Amino acid sequence: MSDKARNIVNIVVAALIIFGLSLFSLIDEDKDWSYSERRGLAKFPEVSLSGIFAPPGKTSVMNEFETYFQDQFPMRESFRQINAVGSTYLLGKKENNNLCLTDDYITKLEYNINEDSVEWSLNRINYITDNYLADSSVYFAIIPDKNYYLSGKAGYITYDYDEFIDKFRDSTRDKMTFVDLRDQLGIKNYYYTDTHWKQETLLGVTDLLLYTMTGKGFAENTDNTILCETLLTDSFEGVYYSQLALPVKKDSIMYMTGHYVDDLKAYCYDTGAPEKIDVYDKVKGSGEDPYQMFLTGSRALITIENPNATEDRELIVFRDSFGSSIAPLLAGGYSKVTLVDIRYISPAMIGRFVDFEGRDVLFLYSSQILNNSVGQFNN
Amino acid sequence: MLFSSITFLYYFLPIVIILYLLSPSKLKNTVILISSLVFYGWGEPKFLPLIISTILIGYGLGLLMETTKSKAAKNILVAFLVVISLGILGYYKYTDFFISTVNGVLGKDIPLLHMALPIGISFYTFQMMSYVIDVYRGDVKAQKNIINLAAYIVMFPQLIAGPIVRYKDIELSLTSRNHSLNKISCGIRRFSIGLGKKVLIANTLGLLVEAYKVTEAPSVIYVWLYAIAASLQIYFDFSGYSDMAIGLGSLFGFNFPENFDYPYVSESVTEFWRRWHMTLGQWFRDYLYIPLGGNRVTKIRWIFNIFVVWMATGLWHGASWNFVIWGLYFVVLLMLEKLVLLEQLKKTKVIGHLYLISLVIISFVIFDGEDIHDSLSNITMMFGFGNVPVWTMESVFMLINYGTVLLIAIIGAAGLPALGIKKLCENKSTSKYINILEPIFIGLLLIICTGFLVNGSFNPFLYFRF
Repeated sequence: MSDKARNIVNIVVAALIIFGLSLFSLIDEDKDWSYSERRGLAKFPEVSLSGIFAPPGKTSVMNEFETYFQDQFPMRESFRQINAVGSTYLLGKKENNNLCLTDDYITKLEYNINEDSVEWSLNRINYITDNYLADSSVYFAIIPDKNYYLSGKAGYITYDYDEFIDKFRDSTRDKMTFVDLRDQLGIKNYYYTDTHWKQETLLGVTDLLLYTMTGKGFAENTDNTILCETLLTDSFEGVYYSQLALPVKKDSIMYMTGHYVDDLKAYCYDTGAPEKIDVYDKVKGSGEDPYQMFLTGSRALITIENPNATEDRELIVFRDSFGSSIAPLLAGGYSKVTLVDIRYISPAMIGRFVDFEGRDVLFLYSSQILNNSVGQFNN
Repeated sequence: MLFSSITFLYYFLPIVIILYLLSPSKLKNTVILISSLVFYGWGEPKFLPLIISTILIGYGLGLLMETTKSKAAKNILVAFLVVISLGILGYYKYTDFFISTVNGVLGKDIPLLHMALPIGISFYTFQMMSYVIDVYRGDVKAQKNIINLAAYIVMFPQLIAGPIVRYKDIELSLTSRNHSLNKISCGIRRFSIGLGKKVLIANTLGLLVEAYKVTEAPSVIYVWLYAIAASLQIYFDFSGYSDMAIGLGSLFGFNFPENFDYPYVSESVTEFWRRWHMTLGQWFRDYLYIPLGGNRVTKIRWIFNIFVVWMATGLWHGASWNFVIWGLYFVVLLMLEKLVLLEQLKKTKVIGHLYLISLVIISFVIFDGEDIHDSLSNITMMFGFGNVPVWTMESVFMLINYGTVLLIAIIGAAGLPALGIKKLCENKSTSKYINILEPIFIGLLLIICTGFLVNGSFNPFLYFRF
């Protein structure tokens, strides 16, 4: 190719990319929602003089335009994938958007114990214990993050989970019984692309928790007929899947069912009056965030009634989203399970809705939430 | 507005290029002027009156200077120029530094003004000053057409982060310039390479620098990683910006001066400063060092001249004690070299190179620190006196995570890719393949950089604060 021909091709290539994408962005319709980031995308800004001359600290119209152009750029997801591939394979980075890929598992890089968060988590747990749980049997279990099981093997860093768990165990030793889940769980208990654990692998954990709290394992409490059904096969894109933006293995989503599960009755109290909800919401299971199929996702207060319970015994679980999938299994050991999520209801208000006297109480939290509770756990 | 932004690349630039292509020759500078004011106003609309005032001052003083015959009157005009230009620069850039210094020394509690620094003020003020001084010296004629002068002072490719283009370098191009296929193609190539340097390398290294700054587990290895990454980040950020500016200038028919010449291959600090931010060095040489007498004075006066120039260079970069110390650091090194070391360094190239790299890395730790205490703490840690472990898991992970990009950056900063391509181009049998690969490379670079920009990665230009 002659120099002149090269010059022409250079200009044509650059013009095609710059003018082509520019034109494409003009004709491409604006989108409302980014599935990969689970957030709304910026809309065309309203132009005003006060917006143009915004005072320091306020977002100007120009800043809004910058965000808008970036959010509404054509083929945005494809370009995010190019970024991920470039970061990983061109620049050799081991993490992308703070996410690591190890043996097909996506993990969020988190290598510092957040002391403020630990303190705030303990503060909330102690507040609830001191104010409500004088006449209850109280238990505490921490669900380790996937990093705990992967980091050593992969050479990635993570914080010292043993130190982290000890901080909670030591600070709550006098008030509750600590149930250690570390040896009961392994990496196979977690989804590849999502932060959560897989319900179909939790019988061991359920057994351990029920045995500690009731003296009977899962099988002794139920009629022992539990089955595993598949809702999605190799098509579940967990919350990390699109964030990582690399082509990786997808998950299947399964759920445990059987005679006693079919008879469970679940109610949500977020609107005040009890509203009957599905234990497994298959519509949500086929939606954008399939893990929300378990007890319909994020809720402040839920009860599950088990008419087949062998004993009239109640459990109250303070929990995060991990609790949604294990709760139907824990219900096998109780006549009623109440789930409380203090991210959506203030601990100061709980006493109005929940009677704690004589109940078993379990604090069941993922390490990820406990290490990032500031701004999440309510006052 | 950043060059490395979706807004610039896919909205501002295409519109300006279309307007520029459609406009007749005599209106092309008007298109450049208006688009430059929009470019500037996009980020700082409230400072538009300031930049317009700078244009008017430069224009008025230039005309007055040329029509004034009396040498004394010309001297007064130059004095006025210096007072007003440095006064504006000083007011916006150094007032809070001055107040906090007074507060610290005298134990006062004078409130700070917390003024926003107009973007690029150090660059366009220096350009305006150089124009008027060149008219004063008779090196150039005053520009009668205010559009042409305004287009020179606020020309968006070099408005906010250089290179510092002197009026005499583009005087002819302002009134008559040619646009050739070769020039446009070279401009596109230069811009794309600059964009890649900024977006792919500088921004990625910036993540490592930021990670170090918030770490709870510093170590000797980590602080060295930070120091090397910060030194390379500053280079790729600033030289990438200069490449983009030169490339854009080329698209619009201008030839901007080079600003970097692989400074990290230098073997002495003296050589480093001939290769780093060349247009700033030339500006200080021509408008400060030589007027002070340069090196054709007594030794004491010469040392004083170097001291003044490097204090000014340090303070030009920022209003903090870090930059004062940074300037002083180079005063000491340059004096040592000129008086003792330079001849020795020429004899031992490898040692000279190691000496230069080590000292420059330390200089950028001073440069990049939050304050002087932070910089000193980092330097202490680098040499094992900071009571921190040699390594931590975090530092090892960072080495693994950023190892490849650090290696790419080191190879790039050493100029090896450019050298390799130059050799291939000189060889007839391989040059045709380079011609085929070049458009593919440009296309891929633009696409990959767009991917990084869409992802909204870490993106500020370091030199905006100057």
